[in-house]
Amino acid sequence: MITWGNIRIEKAAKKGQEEVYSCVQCEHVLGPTTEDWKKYALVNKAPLSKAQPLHLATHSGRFALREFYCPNCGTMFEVQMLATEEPNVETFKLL
Amino acid sequence: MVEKTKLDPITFEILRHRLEEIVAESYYTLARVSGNAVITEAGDHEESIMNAMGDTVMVGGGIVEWTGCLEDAARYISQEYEDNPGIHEGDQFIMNDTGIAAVHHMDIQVLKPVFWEGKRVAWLNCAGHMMDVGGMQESGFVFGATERIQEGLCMKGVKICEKGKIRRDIEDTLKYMTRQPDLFMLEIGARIAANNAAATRLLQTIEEFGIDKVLAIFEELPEYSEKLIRAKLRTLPDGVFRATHHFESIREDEGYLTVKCALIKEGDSITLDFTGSSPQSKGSQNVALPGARSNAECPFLMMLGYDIPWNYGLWGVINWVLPEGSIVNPSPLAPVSTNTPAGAGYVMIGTVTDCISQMYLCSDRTEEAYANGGNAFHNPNMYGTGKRGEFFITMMMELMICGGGALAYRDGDNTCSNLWTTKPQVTNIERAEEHFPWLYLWRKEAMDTGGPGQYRGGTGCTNAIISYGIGEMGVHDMGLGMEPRLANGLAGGYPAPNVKQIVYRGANLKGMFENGQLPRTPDDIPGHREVKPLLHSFTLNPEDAYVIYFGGGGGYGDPLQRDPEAVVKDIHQEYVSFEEAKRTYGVIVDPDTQQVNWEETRNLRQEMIQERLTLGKRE
Repeated sequence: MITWGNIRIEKAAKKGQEEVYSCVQCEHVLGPTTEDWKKYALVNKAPLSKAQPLHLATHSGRFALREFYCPNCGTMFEVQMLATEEPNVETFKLL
Repeated sequence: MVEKTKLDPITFEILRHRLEEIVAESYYTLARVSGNAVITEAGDHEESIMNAMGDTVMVGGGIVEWTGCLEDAARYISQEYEDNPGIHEGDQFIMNDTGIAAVHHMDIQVLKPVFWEGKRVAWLNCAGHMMDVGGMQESGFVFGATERIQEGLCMKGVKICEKGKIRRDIEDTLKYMTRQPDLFMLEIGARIAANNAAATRLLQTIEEFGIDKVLAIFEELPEYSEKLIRAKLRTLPDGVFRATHHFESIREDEGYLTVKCALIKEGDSITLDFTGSSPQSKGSQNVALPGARSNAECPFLMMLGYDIPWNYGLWGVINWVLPEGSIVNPSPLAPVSTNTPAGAGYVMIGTVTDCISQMYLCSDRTEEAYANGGNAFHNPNMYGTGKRGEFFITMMMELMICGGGALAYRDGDNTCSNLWTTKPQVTNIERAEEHFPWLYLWRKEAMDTGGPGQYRGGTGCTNAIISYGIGEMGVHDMGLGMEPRLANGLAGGYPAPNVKQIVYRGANLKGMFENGQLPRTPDDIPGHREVKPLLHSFTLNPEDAYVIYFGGGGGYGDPLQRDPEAVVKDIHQEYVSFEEAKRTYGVIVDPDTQQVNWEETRNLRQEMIQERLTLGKRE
């Protein structure tokens, strides 16, 4: 079994079963590993000023913090700083 | 047919250590002889030994992002100049051409061929940053360049030493083309001295062990490194690991620029694919091919090769995809001077760091994963007329002590490191004030600059200076991360905060000093506040104060999973404020008792989780 932070990659226990991503904290099954796990997560685009002191923050609409949560327990899986409208980046894909 | 010498394991180890010591002696010789504070105080140099063809056999510590370039230089001279002007005993060559073998023009290499019984058996390279190389702008970082030719001195392996002596014609030419002619030549001399010291030791080693054994270690060491790295790669999962970093363009008409990296790991080799990175920039943040490879190799060496000897056998396992015409492989004419530390070269380091960390996180070696550190910073280059009426130029070296990224099991190191140097160091303040015409108001770890996470990123530092004993002083500031947040977090950790630089015009602190007062924070500094953008030039007047926030490291894991007691400890040590403890970590600390209010903390964290579930949407 492989974990990537709070995401677990569960191998298929039996033939015919799918390998799936699940949440380490609540064991909620996110979905099969044939897709990017981000497709199963909740996403929030937060301003860049989040999680930093306001006197350092530069206010701009060009970029956002993309937060990915477990849809069941709200655990934060990943935060990425990306341009506001660009597609998600598939952080890892095991071959 | 002559039988090849095969080293026994003991001799192999003795010779491996001997080569390490030779490179180290070269490193410390340069540091002792140099008169350039960037070398002596910040360790901005690297040395290596190559075989007769120019392939690296041993690299010392120092600025890791040059490692690939050192070998490119020796290979080029070996291939191009064998017949004309010839490569002879007593020669040394200067190289700083970014199209062949340098990250930017300021990184000047001096190479010495080593001969045994009339035959070339090795190359030595001593490389270090030079504070001025002529060109359009003091410092060599040329903000307005639109062509590489505007970026100053460019040498493709010029023979500076012949028969053991410096050539006067070359010396006079070089002195004419730089703003600090005497210091420039002192620095060239220091590199020549470092090479001579290393050559002496190498020849002594040949005398002691015999040429066959020394040539055997040159061959067996890269084989050994390749064997080790391939074995390590086989233990890591096959997969595709991706990172995208955006950064500010020096040119307003370009908005922002992007480096995209995909690390494809299959079996015992990896491919670094930068497809999707921005097209070549019109400004100076491009990185030419040699610098691109060398920068990208830096996290590979530091994260995957830290326990393996560094040589061509190690990095030879990397396959490259660097699209032509992109910001990571521009045309030969494109300007490149700010790619490091404020452009594509430096950002490549961050993207490869992210990709390697993702790979480690998918393995049973999660402790090797590392959030980004040192990717957001300022690097002001200060210049003007010094206390003795001389032209001076130097850089503020606090960028060497950005916060380290958090790991999967502990907080990042505070004000410690960047992945591009093995020996992060910064000028002692007393010595800086002795060398340079400014006084420090403070240099300290800056609160709330580490990226939040279950494990916090290391804090960056802040400093504040005023000029001292001179008139106005020019500043060319470089940096990254004032708008985008570039020191990425990992696995739910936030990136480190933005960096900032502020000039307080007319602060006129003399009156405060006369009253026995010293400002402790920016709020104590009077004057008109000007926030300065990155990659920007301005003047600092004698009555102004200059405050800078350098970057911290990214965090690891969900900040709501951070132990509240760790947050309290951070508050006690002034790494985290009460406000951020509450706002980001969901920890309520009683300001009087300085203890966790556990009930309020549980309730607040539950509210924050609920807020996530409300705000979060499926895409």
